[in-house]
Amino acid sequence: MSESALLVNHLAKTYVSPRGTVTALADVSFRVAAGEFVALVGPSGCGKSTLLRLLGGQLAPEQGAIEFPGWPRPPKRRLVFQEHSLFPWMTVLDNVAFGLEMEGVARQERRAQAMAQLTVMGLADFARHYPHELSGGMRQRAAIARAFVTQPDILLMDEPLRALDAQMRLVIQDELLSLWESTRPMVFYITHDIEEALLLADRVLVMSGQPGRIREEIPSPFGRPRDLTGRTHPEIEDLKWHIWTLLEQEVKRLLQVKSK
Amino acid sequence: MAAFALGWLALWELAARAGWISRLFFPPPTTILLTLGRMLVTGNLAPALALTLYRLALGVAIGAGSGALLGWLMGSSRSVRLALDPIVTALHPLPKLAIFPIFLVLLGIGEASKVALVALTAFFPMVINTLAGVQQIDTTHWEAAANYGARGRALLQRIILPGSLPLVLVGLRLAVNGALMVTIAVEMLSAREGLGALIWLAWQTLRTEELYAVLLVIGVLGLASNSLLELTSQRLLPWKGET
Amino acid sequence: MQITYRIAKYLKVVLAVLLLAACTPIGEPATPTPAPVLVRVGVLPFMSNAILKIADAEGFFVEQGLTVELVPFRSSNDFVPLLLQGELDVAAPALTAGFFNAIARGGNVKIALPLTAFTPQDCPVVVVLARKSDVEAGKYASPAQWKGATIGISLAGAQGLPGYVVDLFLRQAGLTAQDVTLTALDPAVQGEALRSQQVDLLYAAEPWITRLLAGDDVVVLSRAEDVAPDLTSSFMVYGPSLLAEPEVGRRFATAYLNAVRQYHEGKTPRNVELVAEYAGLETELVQQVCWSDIPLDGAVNVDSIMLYQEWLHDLGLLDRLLSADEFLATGFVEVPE
Ligand SMILES: Nc1ncnc2c1ncn2[C@@H]1O[C@H](COP(=O)(O)OP(=O)(O)OP(=O)(O)O)[C@@H](O)[C@H]1O
Ligand SMILES: [Mg+2]
Repeated sequence: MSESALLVNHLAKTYVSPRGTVTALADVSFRVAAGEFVALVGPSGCGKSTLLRLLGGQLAPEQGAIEFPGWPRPPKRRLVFQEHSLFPWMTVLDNVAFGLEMEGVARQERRAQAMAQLTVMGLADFARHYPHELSGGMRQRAAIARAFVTQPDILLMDEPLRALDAQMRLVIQDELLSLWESTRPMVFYITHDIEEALLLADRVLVMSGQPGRIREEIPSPFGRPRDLTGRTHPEIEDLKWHIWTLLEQEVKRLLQVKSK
Repeated sequence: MAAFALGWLALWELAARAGWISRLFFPPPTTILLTLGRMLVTGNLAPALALTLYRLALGVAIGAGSGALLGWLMGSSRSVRLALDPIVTALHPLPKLAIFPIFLVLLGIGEASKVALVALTAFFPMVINTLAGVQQIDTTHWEAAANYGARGRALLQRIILPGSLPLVLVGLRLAVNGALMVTIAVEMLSAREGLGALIWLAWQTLRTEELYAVLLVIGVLGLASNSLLELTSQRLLPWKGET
Repeated sequence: MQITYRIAKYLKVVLAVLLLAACTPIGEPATPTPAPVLVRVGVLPFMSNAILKIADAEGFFVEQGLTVELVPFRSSNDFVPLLLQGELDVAAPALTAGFFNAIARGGNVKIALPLTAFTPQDCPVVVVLARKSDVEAGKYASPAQWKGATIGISLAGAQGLPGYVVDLFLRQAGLTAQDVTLTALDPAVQGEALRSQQVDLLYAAEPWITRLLAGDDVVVLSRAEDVAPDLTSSFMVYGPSLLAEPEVGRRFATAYLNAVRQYHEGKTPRNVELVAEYAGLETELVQQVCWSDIPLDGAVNVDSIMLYQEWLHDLGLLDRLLSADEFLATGFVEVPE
């Protein structure tokens, strides 16, 4: 019996616009098992968001394939964006209930579920507020709640904590891990932050850019359940350094490519 | 500001009473106010106001309503937008009053031609702003909506309509102001009743105090309709926050 | 004194801007410093106003030592204010309530010369038209049958001389304005309105009569000259400047009456050419249409104005009734004995 997974084979994507052609991804292949938490790091512009959109079905690949072997039905994929993805014209409650609403869940039911999710995340008091009345951190948590409440099979997250300060990130990382532990969706998590990638994920994919490829896969040394308070693991420094050098080479190479 | 305005009025009053300016053309403000009072009491102002409001409301309902519908349609469908955008762009700047004789021939001399011209005036700002309203919806929101499975009717109701509403309401405001101007102008051109007709008659009889009185009413009407729309906006857009 | 005068002047400018912005197109900008014998005449693109073109083109004004500038307008709406403000010296405004009220309120404008008159001639200049089919069906055999009809009239006309003439028609049949519906019509669409039965009857003047009759589905029902024979229907009005200078006023009147004399030669090639050019009409049409009479003797039918004035007063449009010497200037026309 084949285990359900996400299988990416020789994926390529080129953007064509009147201003030029950009090969965002060239020949990307990897596999993620159901319930796995995978992080993706890479230099800016290497095609991470493009890859995520392909995985989410927002974009169509022009070469290669994305397959979902072993699922009884096509897996439910939900995106969490960088920021400002809550609909400003809906209350926080309606935003969180939005996915359920689109799935046809009855009003009472979806509101109850959304409210429960908000309560878990400590946002119950803000259910009737509009996004502009929330802090950046609260908004991002609400966006995460909106995704989790639909119980996705695959959660695709594009630097969800990018705009937040260090404290807030810690809090939400913690929250995210415990949410994940409770339902165990497959998570595909893009980040700039190497430490964050190592702390959250089971595996870190390191990308190279222009055109984007997977350069290396690094398994996280930490087991589960994970304790984020113990951030000063001795191994982490070595790994960070390793990834950092990989990325530094990349960034330097990209700068040379640009200046040619 | 109020003191400044009052100062001007006082100066006007003085100048008119002292004969520095022609009283025939610039009757003193107090005379204008008294005339306004008399017109309100003797009652040819109220029916005129009612008729003008009726033409305005009907024209705006038809014009702005269809404008918004078309704007949403153009915003939702690329092919409709590509097909209609040049037409809308070409027709928009046409001076509406210049088309009036054609409307008269097409629709007859009754209310229809007048209301149609008012509607046409309200139509364009509404199409353009509604379309812009749809187009300014953030890419992230379109993506999020699509990712969570919003399509068709749900997409329209939950994303397109509310997302475009701020600019739709701006469009409505432009539509109402333009329509008010054209309503009065059309009444001056061809109506025997309504505020525009009163202006015309006041000029025809050189009773300038009546002219100013009606202008005052129109000014108040503009002020009232704009405050009403402002209030409506605040009601409908609680998510916009105070500005 | 100096200061108040300047304030007054400033106020005037501001208020004029206000008024302009508010409602009325005042029209042409003022020409600076008129020479003593420069006379500015506001003219309309009507055939009757071509008399001024004749006087100009044939040199009658120059003969009198006048430099005349014909300033074209689209409607006579603003003539009285412009005369009062000294922007124009002469014009032929429609004789509306505004003319009388301006005088009642101290404005110095007066009728100096007759322009057109409803002199009975072999062709009508102002009529009421009906659909031929209706007339053939015997619909308006007697004037009393106008009851209930919708009558198209120009917007400006309803509360002016055309409205008065329609009222005379009605009175003749023992009817009043309450018995019919008056509908304001733009001349451009009046024929269409009559044919498409939006109105039953139409008050029309030349050259529209000729144009409409050409369709052969419209007929003349009544003529204005029958109910108001010899009514003076339009006038040359002098503003304060000419009233203050009777000598210039007399010379203008003389030149004008010389033109009237040439006009009375009828549809000579020269007259046709000048009228057609002035009114922007085709020569054939100008030859076809009925030309209004312009009284040769320069005499105004005062009684007809008084009656018209009373009608305006009854409608509540006038501040008060004026006496003839308030609105009529005499002494400009030299009456040959
Ligand atoms: N819609 C588009 N049209 C054309 N080019 C695009 C488009 N979107 C992205 N690109 C290009 O594709 C490349 C990859 O972009 P992408 O957004 O996937 O990078 P990224 O890794 O997410 O960058 P960042 O870390 O800065 O978010 C970039 O060079 C970008 O300029
Ligand atoms: Mg990105």
